[in-house]
Amino acid sequence: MSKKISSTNQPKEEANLKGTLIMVMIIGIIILVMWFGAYGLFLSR
Amino acid sequence: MELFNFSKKESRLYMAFMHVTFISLLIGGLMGLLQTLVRSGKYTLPFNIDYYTILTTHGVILGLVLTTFFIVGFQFSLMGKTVGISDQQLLWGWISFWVMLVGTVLAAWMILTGEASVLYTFYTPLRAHPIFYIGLTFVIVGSWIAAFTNFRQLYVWKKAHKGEKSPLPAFMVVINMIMWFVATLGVAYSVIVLILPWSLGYVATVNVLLTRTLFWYFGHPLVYFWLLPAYMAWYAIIPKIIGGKLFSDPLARLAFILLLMFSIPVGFHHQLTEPGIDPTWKFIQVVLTFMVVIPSLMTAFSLFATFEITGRRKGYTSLFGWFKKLPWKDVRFLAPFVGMVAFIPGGAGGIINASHQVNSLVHNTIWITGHFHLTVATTVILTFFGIAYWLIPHLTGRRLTPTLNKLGIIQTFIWAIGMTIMSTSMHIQGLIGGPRRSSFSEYAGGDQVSTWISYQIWQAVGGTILFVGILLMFYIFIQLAFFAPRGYEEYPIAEEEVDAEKSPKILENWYLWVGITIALILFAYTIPMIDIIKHSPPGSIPFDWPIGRS
Amino acid sequence: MHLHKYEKVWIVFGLASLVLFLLIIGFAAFWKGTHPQSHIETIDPQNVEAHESFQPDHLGLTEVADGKYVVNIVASAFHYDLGKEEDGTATKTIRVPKGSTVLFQVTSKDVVHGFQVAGTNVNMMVEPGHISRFESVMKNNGEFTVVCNEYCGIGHHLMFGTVEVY
Repeated sequence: MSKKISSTNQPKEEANLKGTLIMVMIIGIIILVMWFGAYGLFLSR
Repeated sequence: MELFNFSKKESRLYMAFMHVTFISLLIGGLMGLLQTLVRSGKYTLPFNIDYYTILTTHGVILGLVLTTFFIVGFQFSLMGKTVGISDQQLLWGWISFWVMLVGTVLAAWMILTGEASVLYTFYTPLRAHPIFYIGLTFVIVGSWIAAFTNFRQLYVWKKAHKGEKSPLPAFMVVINMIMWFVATLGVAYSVIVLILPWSLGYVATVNVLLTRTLFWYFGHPLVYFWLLPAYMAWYAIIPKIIGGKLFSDPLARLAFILLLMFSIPVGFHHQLTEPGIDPTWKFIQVVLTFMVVIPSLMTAFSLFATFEITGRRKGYTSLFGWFKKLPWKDVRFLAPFVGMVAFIPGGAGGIINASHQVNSLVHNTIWITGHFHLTVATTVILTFFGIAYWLIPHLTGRRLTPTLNKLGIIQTFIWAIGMTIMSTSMHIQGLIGGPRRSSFSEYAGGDQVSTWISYQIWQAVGGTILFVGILLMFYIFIQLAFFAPRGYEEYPIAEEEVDAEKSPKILENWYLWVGITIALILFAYTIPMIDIIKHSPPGSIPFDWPIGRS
Repeated sequence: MHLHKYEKVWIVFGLASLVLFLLIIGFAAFWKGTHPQSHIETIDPQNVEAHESFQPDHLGLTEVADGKYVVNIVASAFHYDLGKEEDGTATKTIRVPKGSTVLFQVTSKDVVHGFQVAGTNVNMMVEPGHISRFESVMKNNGEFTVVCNEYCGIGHHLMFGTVEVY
């Protein structure tokens, strides 16, 4: 913890997170579908 | 990161909290089972026991007692592990435990004798026995003692480690306890200043809307007080269990800071259908409620990223190879993971609940009960179970054996199945208008009511499966506490990457974050509170007979 | 602080969704007037008859204009007072034609109650000292159960009524 790694100024190569993006987008779509479903039901009443 | 070993004395304190947690689970779970059975219409309670006594016990013992004891105990252990605890702090830990326990016993005594069938929200002008309110006050004050002991622990550590950033778990504990303290001030004021004197007869009337507003000022941060320890485990412990590193220390801290700022000024989204609050202020708090979604979105990304980076590093480089190779057979991972999955529909449902006028679709229907059985009774509790599988043996000097691990996996499956059945049928029944917090009733009869009852039968099926899960979990707890073979179980705390990005200093500027938190609360509550007090109707006298008190 | 490019995508997507939801409900609330009920009108809970709407003769259903109705209700543990039928018995069912606009006005004489016409958007907290109001167009045919959906005591589940839309 006390040992400091000299931080270089070049940006670190970004990790490959393609799978993560797909997973969170699925969550996003679930949120949208549920919300609009509920809103549609609200309007129909 | 330097980790401290627990002394025997220390472990005993943390275990004391765990014992109360699991005894509460058993009692509260039994109450839950009885409720679903009564609501099926096929069963009546013996010995003239009232449904609402059972319901109050369930809510208080699981929502307030189990959660608070587990959280305070787990957080003490995180502090002890990462910043250490002095003998004096340990003593304060015991004082907090005993004060909370005395409060619990007082409240439980009143509830079980039918003197406090007011549910865990204790809305006035229903009046419980004054000892019930005194008991609740003790529980809150006990948790404050724990909070200030935790603050002191980090303060002492910081003094000895000038210029170093605080360990992530300790930082998170302090955030949660600041939030808890600021939030409980509202309910403490309501109970001690408004309700207690009124329940004793010293004051004739009470301002109903004011007590409700103070309750919900506390009531929403309460659910975040439950959720944040689960997030602590997801951010700071799960990476270690799956053999990875922290995804990002600064992003985890930022998420917690946002949770602190936006958990409190949002209580009106529980009061959207109330007559006495200005709709514009309701909407302002709806907007603030939506802000608290953001740190949870960040958390979802962080978790998947941790999983993906860890898996790819192990060589599973296909698009979802890293996902397939997660340690599914390790209950310390599986139980919290199922909890994370439940938070997807749980969180999405929460956004619907908070959507201003759309709230009337679900307000006080059993959809809400289905909602928080996903969030607190699945997401939070399965993560707590996931913690217990290693924390209990770590404290008792035993091991999570392969057999117990397998039983834990079975437990997780039982929970997932039972909750899917119960919570889904609650959500659907709520959308077609079925009310929550109600004993079995056929009302005026008709198609609508018979459809409700058919869903209530499914809830009894789910509730029964869940109770089997509770019995199994209690058995596992007893094994880990007293009978599992002696040995060493790791306390898993994730490390940062060696080349991790440095955390900006501003993230530990407590004055700034607490200041913004208070400013947001003042913004969201000052004017509506003045309105509520200025436009208050004649106060309400107490009512004892509706809850069966003579 | 470093954010992965995909995390930026995700946060922007999430924020945009939340803003979209807020725009929809905000537009409906502030321009179309579909706020949840919030009328901030007070009343003495021990003397609700002092308010004209809650005098015994004015309880229950009244047609105020063609296709427009008002329903006045006094809630108390564990009963909704919907007025009396012509033969003097207590009214249990409110009947209105489909498409009519109905204003529900409810107050409580004792503790906190709920008032939900289950299956419609009429869903209100009813609190002593306050008048709860909600106007709704009854769009769908059917028999809707009115339930007290806030715990009001040991007889809470026996507190109900019916709204019939024909």
